[in-house]
Amino acid sequence: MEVVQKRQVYVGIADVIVSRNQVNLYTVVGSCIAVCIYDPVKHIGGMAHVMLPEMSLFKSKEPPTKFADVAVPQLITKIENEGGLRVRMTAKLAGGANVLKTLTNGEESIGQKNFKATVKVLVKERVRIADQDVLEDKARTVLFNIENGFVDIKFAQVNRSSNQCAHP
Amino acid sequence: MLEIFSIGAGHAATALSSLMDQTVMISVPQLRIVKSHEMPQALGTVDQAYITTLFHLRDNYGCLLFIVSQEEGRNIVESWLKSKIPASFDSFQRTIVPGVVESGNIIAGAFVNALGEITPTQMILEPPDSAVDFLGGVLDNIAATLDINFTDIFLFDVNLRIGGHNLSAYFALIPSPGLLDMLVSAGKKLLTS
Repeated sequence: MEVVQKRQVYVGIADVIVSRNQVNLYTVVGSCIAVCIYDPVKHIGGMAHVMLPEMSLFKSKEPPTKFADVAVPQLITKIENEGGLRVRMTAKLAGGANVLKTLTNGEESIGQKNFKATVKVLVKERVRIADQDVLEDKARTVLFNIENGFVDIKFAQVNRSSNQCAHP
Repeated sequence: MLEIFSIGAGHAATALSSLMDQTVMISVPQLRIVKSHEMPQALGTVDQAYITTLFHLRDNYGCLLFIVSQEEGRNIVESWLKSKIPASFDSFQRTIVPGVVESGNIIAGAFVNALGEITPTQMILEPPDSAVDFLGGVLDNIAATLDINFTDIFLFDVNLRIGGHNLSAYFALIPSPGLLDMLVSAGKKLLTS
């Protein structure tokens, strides 16, 4: 029996990548948000790795796609350019964690801000959120299967001799 | 920077030797300057879980990270205590993680003192914070909160020899723009003197 190994592309911080069929998308997020948007009819999907909430709130603007309000609309447009239809698109979100406690000082964490900003943009762009695994205090690996739109999320295994989280 | 860290490593080795009651040697064979978003790949893979200890430098001079794999963290603490730690989650959280944080605290303190000898300011470490998690996720949290993504990080490979055991770890300095200016200026002075 022939086993076909699917190719996997890593989506780094501020990347916005659209894929079809044989190429799955993969990332690791802490406070960042992995925004996975999918058109189930065309089997086109894309992922944006959002690092910060809104461009207007920050001095350092480069690259602009690190911001939710830039990356998410760009992702939707890229999927449309590949033949996807906005009315069919659904979004799945992962991330927004607060991994290190001393980074917040009791204020709203950057992960919470990222999550709120991402939801706000998706509502504005009229893309429905189908599922989400967000906030808390653990980083996540996110594997977006472009063939069926499934998003597989894993957490780190602590106190294991082999500490790598392997995806198929 | 490698020279400064080596001086700090010497001080740290003395302090750790005293604490652990055995000979500890620390060498720093390599310094790499990497962008913050490239750091997980520079250390291995983004989806490996490391014990990461974060030290803020008071007055917004930046921060320091002490990074070890879970296996090396266990090795460091077992070498220190000269005994095997039970393989339970509870023992890991109660003994190994605090042991690694304390080791990192001593190395970070010595490095900061060495920095203080060449810069015109006295730097003070804030109490440490730690996480056992995917390195990619921990670093994106730090980078996003401090808005330091795509900036330069000084990444040191650290070799420790505790008793007869060779162990490896990483140490990273994420300087604020102000501290980076001070380091460049101090480096120029050292080169011309």
